Amino acid sequence: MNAYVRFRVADEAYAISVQSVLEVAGLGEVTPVPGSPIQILGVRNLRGKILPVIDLAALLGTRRARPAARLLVTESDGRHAGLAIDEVTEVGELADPVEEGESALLLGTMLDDGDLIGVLNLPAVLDALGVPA
Amino acid sequence: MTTPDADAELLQLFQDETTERLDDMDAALLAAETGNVPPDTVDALFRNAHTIKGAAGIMGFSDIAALAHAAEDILALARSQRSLHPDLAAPLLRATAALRARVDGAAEPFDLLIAELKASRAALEAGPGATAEAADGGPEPAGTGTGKAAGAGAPSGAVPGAGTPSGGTPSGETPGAGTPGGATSGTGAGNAAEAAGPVPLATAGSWAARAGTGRPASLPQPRPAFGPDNGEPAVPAAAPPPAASEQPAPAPEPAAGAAASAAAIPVAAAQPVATAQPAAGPAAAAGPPPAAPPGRPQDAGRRSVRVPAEKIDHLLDLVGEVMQDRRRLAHALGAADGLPTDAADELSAGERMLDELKDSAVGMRTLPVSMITGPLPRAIRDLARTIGREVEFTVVGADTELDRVILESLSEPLTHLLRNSVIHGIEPPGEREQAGKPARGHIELRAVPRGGLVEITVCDDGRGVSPEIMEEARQEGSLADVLSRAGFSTAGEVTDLAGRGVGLDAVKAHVHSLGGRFEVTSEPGHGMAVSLLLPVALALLKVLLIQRGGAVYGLPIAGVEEVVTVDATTTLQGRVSLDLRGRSLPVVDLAAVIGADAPPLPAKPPALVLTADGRWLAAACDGLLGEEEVVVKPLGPLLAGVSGYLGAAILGDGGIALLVEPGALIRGHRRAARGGLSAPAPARTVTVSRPERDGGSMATAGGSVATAAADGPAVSGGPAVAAPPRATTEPAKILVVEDSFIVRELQRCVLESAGHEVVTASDGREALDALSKEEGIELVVTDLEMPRLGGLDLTRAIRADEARSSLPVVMVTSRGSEEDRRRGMEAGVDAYIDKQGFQQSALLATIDQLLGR
Repeated sequence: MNAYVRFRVADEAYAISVQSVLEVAGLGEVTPVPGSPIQILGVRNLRGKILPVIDLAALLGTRRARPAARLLVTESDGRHAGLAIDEVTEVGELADPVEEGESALLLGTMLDDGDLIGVLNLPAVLDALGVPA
Repeated sequence: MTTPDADAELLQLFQDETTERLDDMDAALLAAETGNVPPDTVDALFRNAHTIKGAAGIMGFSDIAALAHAAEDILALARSQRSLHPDLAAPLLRATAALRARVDGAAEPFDLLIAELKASRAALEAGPGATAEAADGGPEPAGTGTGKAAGAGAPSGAVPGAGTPSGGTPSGETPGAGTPGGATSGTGAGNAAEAAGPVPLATAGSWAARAGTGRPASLPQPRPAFGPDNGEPAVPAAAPPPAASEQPAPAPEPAAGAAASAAAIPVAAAQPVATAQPAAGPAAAAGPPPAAPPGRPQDAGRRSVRVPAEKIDHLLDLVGEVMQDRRRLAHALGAADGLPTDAADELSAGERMLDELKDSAVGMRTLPVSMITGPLPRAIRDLARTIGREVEFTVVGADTELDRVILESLSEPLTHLLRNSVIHGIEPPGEREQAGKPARGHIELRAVPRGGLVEITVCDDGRGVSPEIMEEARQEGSLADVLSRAGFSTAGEVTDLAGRGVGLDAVKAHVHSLGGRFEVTSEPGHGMAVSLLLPVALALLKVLLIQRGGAVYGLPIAGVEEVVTVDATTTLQGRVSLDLRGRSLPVVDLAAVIGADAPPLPAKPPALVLTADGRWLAAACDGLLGEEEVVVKPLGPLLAGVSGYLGAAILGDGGIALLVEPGALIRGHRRAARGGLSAPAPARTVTVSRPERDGGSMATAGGSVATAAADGPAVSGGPAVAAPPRATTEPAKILVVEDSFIVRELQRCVLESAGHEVVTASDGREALDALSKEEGIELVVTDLEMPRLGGLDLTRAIRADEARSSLPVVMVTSRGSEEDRRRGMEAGVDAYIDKQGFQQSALLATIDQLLGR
């Protein structure tokens, strides 16, 4: 058992290890950076620091009906990034054993109360977008 | 570098300080090499050598101490003589180079160098009396060639009885003082020379000989042990104690006599040798060298605290944050009207203090340019010598300050540019003389503050780039581009200009990454200048904030020439351009170039006139927000792959402004435009005549950004020209001689649109050909610099031909100096037109005048 932050991106359920999450915040005002990959929404001012914001839905290939509202501020190997999500549903323990996922962006999947939950592989997400750590 | 038991921090301190002192010494020695240095510089040299010796002693580096000591010895003597002979600079420079290498970790033995210095000193000491006397204006001893000889190998025999060459003691004042009697050869110099026997006076001997002093025949002829360039002493010489030289007292210095002794002591004389020559009697008591003359302040002027750079960086970061915080506060308060007076007062007082705090924090991060120029004169001198060039190097504006990080990052690029100048720019002395230039080339490094920025220029008076490259640059629009294009250097390898472009691309990229500007200008045969325009501080950048599509962007002030309103524009091949004082600039939508989504531009939008690499561009936006000094924040690793941004800044309202690199905008525009028929060379659009339109087509934004008002009349001057002459001018047949295709076609266009018939030639020979073949050419318009046959020779050939001796010749040239004009007039040129800011009206009016119409 390990602690996870569970959240929704559009209609899908995901989880990420709490150790990667620094805080949960509102999406805030995101400034687009022309020329950047489309999976990057832009940059945000987080208490005086420039934080890149990743459009998780675009990256995961999820269709989104309304814009993201919340932000998971994460860190991996010194790389900070905000993940644009819809809402955090729960913070708590989940069973570790996960099935191998097909996506390189996921550590795997699990079933919880009939919900299919994708466990996010944060380093892989960041690698997919930017400079490797 | 290794040391028995030195604490690492102490060691670092020692390295830093010694390097600083060696820099100082190098600078002074290089000055000494070219002429006499002021006495206080000699003082400083001495003190530096002395301090290095002392510090090395404490640190346990006995070899450094020994070499510094040998240098100090010479300098002590020079100090007492209040001058340093130019020829002493070379051995001392070799010593400082060795010390530097040692401090940096090399482990070459110093024995030979020490021996060389000692020999130099012995030679120097041999004639201090003569020098002192000459300097005092006293009667010059017979046989002394010149007072400037610094007493080297002076004919001590001519100063009978001045047996004690106590450093600096004017022998005239101490006749016979301390003379150990006739038992010796009578003079210290004699001692030195005799004791040394066949031992040569090393380098000193060579310069003494050059100084032309009348050396008494009784003294052994000094044989230069090593040439000026060889640096290998054949035989080591004496190690004199420095004691006496410290005190220029008129009293006889017992120790001094010893200076003459101990010659022929083999190498590795790490300790000052004080062995007294029996003959030198009173000198026998020579003790160890005093640590320092009493009363000399121990570097009182160098009070400083060493602080790790990171701490200052952090301080500046914090200051930036507080300033932003301040802006947010002002923003929040600004919303609420009617702030109490005392609160407003407090706010503005706080602002003033914060400004001061910012300035001093920035001041801690900035350092004078001299911090990195220290080793340059030396490096240039060495390089020039190696490849057989004569180069005079000057640094102008060495106290101009720049951000430490920027400055440090410039060290390599500047070294590279200077190297280029020495190797590829400055010609060998013979070639220079043939070209009518002084044999010694001149390279200048200039740092000039320019409105919150610093311009650093490296220029030389060498051969410049070839006319072919200039032509290429004319066609491409930018010399910087041509020279820094990857592969240029290999392409040019057949010429002796090979390598001129090596690394320039890296320099350019570096300057752009700092938010600066990079420019190259050259005049074939006359030199080249590379300019870097840089922000003073890296973390704080002065930007112009603009708005486009709801987003705020910041452009460094360095890259913004001025702000204009896009009013009347011309369209050519679907591309929009506007006239700015005769220059045609492509107009682009900022959003389109950077790839942002934005609604269409408003009518008559403001545009930033940007320039990079000699290219111009007007980037239109929705509106201007003003100028602000912002803290540059990196976009972070996730966005590192996105080019074109210097970073981002957080604004007073908490919003983010992306900081756009102007060079990237221009490059982005070029990429977009390349699909067309040709490069968007500004000259192209000029060739199209346009309908008249009202003046006042543009206005500046007024802010401090605008360098000059884009006044309407000047703008409308362009199109007004092409139309009227068509009607007024009677057609004539004109020969246009110009090697640049673009310029030639431009001139053809101008002349044809005015109704003239035009024949073209690409150089003087073709022109002479055309003149003999074509009937009825009434006037010649020619360039000055052309391959095969230039404009002047063409004019002479025309004048020499009876049939055409009165054919009018107009020269269009970018070289508008009086001298050029004079040469042109002598050759028979009738009129000059300045190529810079080529004025169609001026050309047409001149032609009309010459044709009497």
